[in-house]
Order: sequence, then structure tokens, then C-alpha cells
Amino acid sequence: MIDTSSTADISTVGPKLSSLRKQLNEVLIGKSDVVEMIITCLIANGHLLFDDLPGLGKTTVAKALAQSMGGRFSRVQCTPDLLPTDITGFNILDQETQTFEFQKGPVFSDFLLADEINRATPRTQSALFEAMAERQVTVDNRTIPLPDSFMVIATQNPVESHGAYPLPEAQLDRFAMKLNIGYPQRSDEIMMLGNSVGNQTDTSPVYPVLDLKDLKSIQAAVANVEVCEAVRGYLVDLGAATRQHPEVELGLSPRGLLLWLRVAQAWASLDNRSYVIPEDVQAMFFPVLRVRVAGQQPATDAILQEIIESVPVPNERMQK
Amino acid sequence: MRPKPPILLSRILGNLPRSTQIAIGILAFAVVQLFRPPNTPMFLLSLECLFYLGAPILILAAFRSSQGTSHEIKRGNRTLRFQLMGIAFTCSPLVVQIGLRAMNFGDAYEVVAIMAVLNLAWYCTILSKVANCQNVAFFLNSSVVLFVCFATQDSIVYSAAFAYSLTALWWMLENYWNRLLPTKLGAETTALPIRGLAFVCSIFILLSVGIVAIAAGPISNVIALPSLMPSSGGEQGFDDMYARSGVGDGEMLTTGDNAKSVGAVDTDQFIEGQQPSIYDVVSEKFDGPTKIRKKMTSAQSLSEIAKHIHEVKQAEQSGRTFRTVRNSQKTITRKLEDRISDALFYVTGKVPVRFRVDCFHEFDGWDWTKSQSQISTHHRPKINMEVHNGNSWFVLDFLLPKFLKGDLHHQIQILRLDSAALPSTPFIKAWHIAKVNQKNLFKWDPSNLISIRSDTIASQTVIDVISHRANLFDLRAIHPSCFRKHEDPILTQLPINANSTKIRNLADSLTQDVEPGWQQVEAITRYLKTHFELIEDAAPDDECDDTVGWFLKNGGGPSYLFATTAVELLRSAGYQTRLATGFVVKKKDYVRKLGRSIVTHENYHVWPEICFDGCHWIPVEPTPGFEEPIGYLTFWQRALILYKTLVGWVISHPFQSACVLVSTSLLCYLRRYWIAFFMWCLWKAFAWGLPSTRLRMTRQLIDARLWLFGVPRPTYIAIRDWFGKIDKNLGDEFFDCWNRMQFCESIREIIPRKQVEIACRNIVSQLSLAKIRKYGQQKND
Repeated sequence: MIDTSSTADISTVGPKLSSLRKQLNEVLIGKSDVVEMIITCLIANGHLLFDDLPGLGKTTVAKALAQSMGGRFSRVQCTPDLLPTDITGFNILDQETQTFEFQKGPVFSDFLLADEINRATPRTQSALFEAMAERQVTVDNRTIPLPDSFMVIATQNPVESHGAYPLPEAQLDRFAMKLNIGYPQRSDEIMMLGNSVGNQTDTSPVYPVLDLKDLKSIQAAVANVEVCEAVRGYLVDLGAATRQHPEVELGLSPRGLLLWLRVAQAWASLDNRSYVIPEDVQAMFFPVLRVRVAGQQPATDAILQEIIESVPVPNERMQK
Repeated sequence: MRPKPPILLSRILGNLPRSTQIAIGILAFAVVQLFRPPNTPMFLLSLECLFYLGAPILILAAFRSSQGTSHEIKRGNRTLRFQLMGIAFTCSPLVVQIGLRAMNFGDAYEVVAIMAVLNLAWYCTILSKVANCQNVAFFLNSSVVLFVCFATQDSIVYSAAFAYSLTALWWMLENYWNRLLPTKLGAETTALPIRGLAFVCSIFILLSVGIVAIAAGPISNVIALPSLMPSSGGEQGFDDMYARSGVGDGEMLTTGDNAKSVGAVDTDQFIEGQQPSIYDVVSEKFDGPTKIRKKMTSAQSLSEIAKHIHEVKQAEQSGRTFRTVRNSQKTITRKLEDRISDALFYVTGKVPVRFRVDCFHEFDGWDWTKSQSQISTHHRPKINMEVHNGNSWFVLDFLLPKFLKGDLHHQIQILRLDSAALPSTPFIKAWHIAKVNQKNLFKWDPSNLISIRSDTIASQTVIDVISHRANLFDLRAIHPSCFRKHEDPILTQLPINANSTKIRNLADSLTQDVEPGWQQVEAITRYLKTHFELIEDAAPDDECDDTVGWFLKNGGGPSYLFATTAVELLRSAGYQTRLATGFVVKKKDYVRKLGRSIVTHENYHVWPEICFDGCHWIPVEPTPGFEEPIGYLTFWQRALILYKTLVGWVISHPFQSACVLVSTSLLCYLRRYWIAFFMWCLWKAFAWGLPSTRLRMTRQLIDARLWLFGVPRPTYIAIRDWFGKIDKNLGDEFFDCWNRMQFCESIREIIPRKQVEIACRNIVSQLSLAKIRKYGQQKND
């Protein structure tokens, strides 16, 4: 249930996020579109996966995002010898009291950065299933809730296959979107180099600019953004089209649809609109579908383009 | 709080407007089934019910198998398969009818057409999730129900139609609920009892319609417009012997045993009126014959003169002679004293039609007299009796000539006609009188007419007449010798007077360059029709010895002089001709409220008839203002005539043809512009529409412009993205209004009309034809 008492007005969402946007744009130079997507995922309360080549700023921007928020931040560097308990925590025997005491793992934070997540074993990756989907952790029959604002920001390197374990579909389905950062433009790279001259660090300093309370109210406002039946129908049709496409082995799940709806709402709210239009759905199509449409061959953008072209965009609201 | 739509019925049926639509479809189907003839074979009804029940499953299964999803249907993806299935679904009744007719079953054409429309409506109902399909289905269903209501007076059909209208009203309330609300939410919508208001209005409308319907009476619901139902009727399907064509068809048709008496004719004013003889009718129409004179020699005694006068009078009054010299108007006492109604008999069936009641063979320049023609007596077809559906039919046994095709069905109800002759259509084939089952009741009279063995046909007698139709093209193709077979000198003789040579010369001049046969007949009648004027009042004076000469000199006259002149000309040309008298029923005589035509003395007419093959008499019409009796053409013959006429017009009007060609070419070349202009005019004309309608029309206008200039918006691209490609500087006003109106339910009505209008005008002016054309050229290059 959404707590509407602390819901922000849609018109205030933009100003509240302006500082965050500015800070992230300073960290990730020339990638304002990626920054918008990151913010969208953040206010949609979804988990984010960065998938790109090494050195493009995945970890940097993930770290900057986490640090821009006022909440707790944890980082896990995923390696093949990482154990599930290294993420969730474990019980240790307290010698004094002779009782087991639970030592919380890095998952107990507001923002968890899982760097190089595909280097962890599937067993370890699976430790995040419950945390990502239900925002809780169960250890030794004890269920411990995570904060409402819990967000996983994961990065992965698609090039290297040695010592890497592809993320299982169930895991992928828990991410709201997958983003590719891509190489910056020449002018942006010149600016980046210029900024590094005279600075000991490669990136601009990052400060908390949005507290969790504001984030929570924004997320509540996003959830209240109106989605009419025509747009809902459009979403469902697109989802159905992914399931029907011959080259897509696993189509969009209902959970994926729900996440897509939410990020479309977030995208609409960033445009200061209190209602979703088909363009919002289309704007979120590639980020949302890239992460979860798995097929016999890699779900390329060409396939996704075919899918989006097979469904007419609603011109008018459906008659009741 | 906004009032909610009335969803009671939807809840009962499944909480969807589509359910109401399905109920509407089923009710429309029921209305049509009740309208169908009661003796429709049960297997046919069962087949159609199965079709109606099974079709939705088949259609949806077909779509699922082809596309794999019903969502594409929902989104309006009109694939080829979609269209082909619709066509197949609509045409299925026609295919079924072809099969049924091969088995001697089947419906009338109207019913088949209705079923086809109904099937299309049902197809749209099944696919009612496709945009606008519900509206199309509703429109088609309503049209069918309305048509059926106007074509019947069956109370059961009315009841079903009433149920249909209730359901349809409910659907409309649900579907257009939002339009019932005020345009702006700024008003206090809760203050208006919308639901109650709608309910009261609905009841009021229904009551009003009911009161009007009751006040107008059932008769007003059975008015058949001329040629509205151009084919069949009857109660036995398409092959019904009682079925007939044209004006006055349909449910009003009373046939066989049902047609003993109809309507007001049972009242005393009709029955007790004096029954006029044919002599009275002729006198009423053309006035009485002149006084008897001439043909006497001075040597004859007074008693002989008196005796002669008496005989002539008797011959005239008994109808044995027909004098072509008659008094001027209003000089005699009217014989028809019953002035309340002039009706002699009623006719149901296709009009115009003519009924022959008498004929004459010999003409002495003054009087027409009957004669025992050899042809008449030797080639009379035998009268046989056949029983169809328990009714006795009297059928003429003759070899059907090639030019006679198809059947025409008429029904005559005798009211006051004092004649023993059966009013018969030119090519009568069979007739039926209720309860009459003895063929010896009928006989051939001396003038080769079928008559009853009685002084007169009793009043209120209903006669069903079936006759053949003569095809004009086939008649023209007949060999001329067929008109001269079994030559009878009586039928070719001319009166010996001063004008006989002149007549022969005229006939020769009219026919010399014309192919012998029917073309010559047409040439003669065409000459009379085009060169002479119908003057009912004109008549030769008493001293006139040659009425035809007087007619030719006068340049016109009454119809009997047209006919007489035509007979003389035709006989001069070598065609065996006689003079027929009877009644011509025109379209104007049809009384819609009665569903039949009323025949009075005004319908009395005289025309020539040409003998064919010794036993058939083909009527011709020389009098202007009367339709050709031989007018039946097949579809292809009509098409050929039209084609020839068109070609002839083009050749004879080169300048106009060139103008038409140039303007048509220009229209084709500039089609994009005038279509766009037409749409723009429509868009301008509906400026007063609701904001949502205005926005939709604007979007459609721009989409149409894009389509016309070769850059149609792909269905998967939103309007802002596509329109923005044409003009990068497009404002956001229209798109904001559009999105708010279409995709935001809570603030949709807040948009002021003025803001919408400005946004629409701006985008229409920004996305001008020139800009779109330029973009289209760039893209196509």
C-alpha cells in the first residue's frame, strides 16, 4: 500500500531531483540520457544493472548514485569465491552469552553496489533473489526486512567469459532495467581529461543531495501517476508480442510488466506529467526489455525493434 | 464524485459493454428470423443458429492460430486474413442460397440481403474489441431492425424489435456515458442527477415512439416505397408462385385463399354501386359515340332506319363495336352514378401493367367491329387445370416463344366491372380464382379473349394472374416471317377511303430503311409518339368519314385514334394487327397505404396488338405518355444499352466529352489535393464539436494528409514522434491537449474548448500541405 500522506506533488519531483541530476552529469560527462534513465530507475524503486565494457564508468556512476543519496551504502566486489553469506550475513556464536548473533551482511543497506556481479557463482548470485524481489532476507529461518528504499546497482562485463557466470533469467527479471553507457563523445572526453588535470581523483566529489525521505515521497508520487486503460493495454500487447516472437525464448513476465509500468510512470513524472502516455512506454522499452528478453540468440535491439513495430500505438483511449 | 455509468445489464451479462453488444446482435438475429416467412425450412433455421453460435469460436480460433494472439485483433491490426474472413462471412448467405436454390429452397432476395448485412454485423460484434467495430455492428444491426420494422406488421417482430431497442439504448448509455456529462469538470457534476435524467429521458423517448407508432397505426408501418423491394416476396420463398415483383410487394401481398376480400371494399358504397359495363367505362373516359348517321340510302324505309339505329345502338352498348367518332366532353349523362369511389378493380403487383378486356378486328374508317378471325379461332391455346399448394390454377397450353421469359405475378380484385372477359395481361400464362376448380367455367370468346361462362365476373372476385415477360432484344431478333404466319386477311385489311393511299405511303416511308420485323413496328410507333400529341378532348366531327385522316391532319387526338392510326399503318406495312382495349395501370395509380393500385375509368386505354406466330398478340404503344409494354431487359442488356448510349453521347458531344475527360484527368491528377481539401472542409465544418472530437478530427486530418503525400504514419509510432519529423519546431500545445484528452481520465474534461481549438488550428497550419508534400518528396527521393 502506498503511503499517500507523504506523497510528493508531481510538479515538485523535477526540482527535487535537479541537484541529483546535476551531480550525476558531472560524474558521467556527456551521458545525460543515461543519467535520466538512472534517475528513472531510482524513483521507480527498481534495481539497476549496468552492462558495458570495462572502463566506461559503470562503477563510478553506480557509486556516485549511491553516495548522492543520504542512505547507507554497501559495496560487494563479486568474485568466484564469494559466498552467499558474504552478502546476506551469518550467525556467529557469542562466546560471552553462548548465543548465536546475526552479523548483517552488506545487503542490509539502502544501496548495494554489486560490482562485476557476473563473476560471482550462481549460488552467490541467488542470495540476492529474495532481497531484490521481496526486500527481505531469510537466514536460518529468520526473516529480516530490508529498507523500503533498498536498491541493487549491479555492474557486469559482457566481454570476458573466463571466470564469469551469466546471470540467471530469474535474477535478470528482478532488475528494472539494463543500461549501456557507451563511449563518450570526443568533446566530452576532452572535457573529462581537462577536469582531471589538477585533481587527485578522476571524478568530481560526490555529496548526498537527496535524503531518503524525499526519495520515498517521490517514489510514492510516481506510483500515483495515472495510467489509462489504453496505455495499460498497449503495455500488455507489447508484453504479449515478446512472448510470441519466434526468436525470443522467454518473453516478458508479469513481474516485468509491473516493473515496466512503474518505470514508465517514473519517466512521465520526470516530464512533469501526472499521466502516462504511449511514448513513455516506448521510451522505456529498450532499457526494460534488454534485461529480460532472452532468446536462442542474444536479444538484440533488432529483435526488440521488430517487436515494438508489431504493435500499433494506441491513438485514442479505449471505449468503455 | 463523477456519476458512474449504468452497468446493470453489463453486470448481468458479464460486466462488459461487449456483452451488451452481443445481446444486441442476438436480438437483431431474432428480429430477422421472426420476419422471415413462417414456412422457412427448419433445417435452414438450425443451420443459421449453428452458424451464429459456431462462428465466433471459428473466427477467434483462426485469428489465434494465424497471429498467435488476440491482442493484435484488439489493436486493430487489419490483416488480409481479417478482411477475407469478413468478406467470406458476409457472403456466406449468398453461397448457401445458391446451394439451396439448386434444391428448390431458398429465401427471397431481400431476406438474403438482410442476412448478409446481419452476418457482417455479427462479424463486427465478434471482433468488437477492434476499434470502432462495436459502432459498426450497432449501426448495421439497427439498420436491419429498422428495415424489418418498416416491412412488416407482425406484432411479434415489433416485440422483439422493442427488446432490441431497449438493449441498444442501454448500450448507447454505457458507451456514450461520458458524453452525457458536462464538458468541463469545473461544473458541479454531482448536482446533476445524470443517471436519473438519462433514465427518465430514455423512458420518455420510448413512450413517445410508442405513442406515435400507435397513433399512426399499423398501416403506416407497411408503406412500401416504389421499387424499394425490387424482387420477390410471397410466402413460399423465392420460388413461390404467388410471389410477385415490384411495387406493392412484401407482406401486404395477399394471395390465394387469403385474398377473398381486402379492406374497405366490403363496405356498401362499393358493393351497391351500379356496375358499369365496358361501354360505360369508355363513355366515361372518352364520352359517348356520336349519333347514328350514314350508311343509309335514301331508298330505305323509316322502319329499316329505325331498326338499323337500334342494332347499332345495341352493338355499341354490348361492346361489339367501338366508334372512333365520339361526342365532345360533358354532353352526356354520366353512367357512373356512384361518385364515392370510381374504382373498378384493384391490382397488386408490378406496375405499369396493362389488362386487356376487349379487342376489335375490322375497321371501316369510322367504327371498329369484332369479327371471327381465323387466327383467333384456329390457334387458341388449350386451357388446362393444375393444382399447386391446394389451389387450382388454369394454365394455357402453348409453345413458349423465345422472346418470352420469366414470370410476372399480379392480383386483381374485381369491384364493379361489368364484363365477362377476364382482365388479362398481354402474355397471360395462368390464372387462379379462389374456390374455382372447374376449367369449363372459362371459355374463349369470339374475339380471342378468355371469359367466364357468365354475364359478368362477380364483384369481390380475386383473380391471380401469372404472365410472361417479353424481352425487347429477343423480340428484335425475331425473323420477320414470324409476324406473317397464318395470314388472316381480316387482320391486314384497310378501310377503303380517300386516305388509304396516303396511309400506305406513310407506312412505306416510315419502314423503307428499317430492318423488317420488330424494328419496323417500333419505327411506326415511335413516329406516332414523337410527331403527334395526345389530346383527350379532341374528336372528329360527325361529318368526318375518315377518322385516321382527321387525326393525321389534326396532329393529335385521343388514345383510340393513336391506336387506330397505328393499326392502319402497321397493317399497311404488312403486320397483322388488331385493336385492343383495356386498362393501363401506371405507377401513379399505386396507393402506398393500400399497397395496391386502384383502377378506374381513367385507366381505360386503347392500343394496337400485333399477331405473332398465329397465337400470341404483342401489344405496342403508339400513344405518348404511356410506357412501352415491352420493356423487360436483362441486366446485361441494360448494361449494353447504357454502354451504347454512353458511346453515342461521347461521339455526338465531342466538346463536352473532352471537357469531361480533361476534368476527370485533372481530378485524378489532383486527387490528393481535393481529397485533402474535402477533409479540411469537413474539419472546418465540425469546429463546434466536442473538444475530444475536435482533437480526433485534427489528428485524422493530418494523418490523412500524410497518407495522401506518401508518408503515412506507421501504426507503431506515436503522433508526436511522427509529426515532429515533418516540422522540428512543432509546438507542444496540440500534443499536450491530445495526451490529456486521450490518456488522462481525471483531467480530460478540464481542457477549455478555446485552448483545444487554438492548438488544433496551429498544428493544421504548421503541418501544411506544402510542408508535408516537401517532406514526402525528400523521403521518397
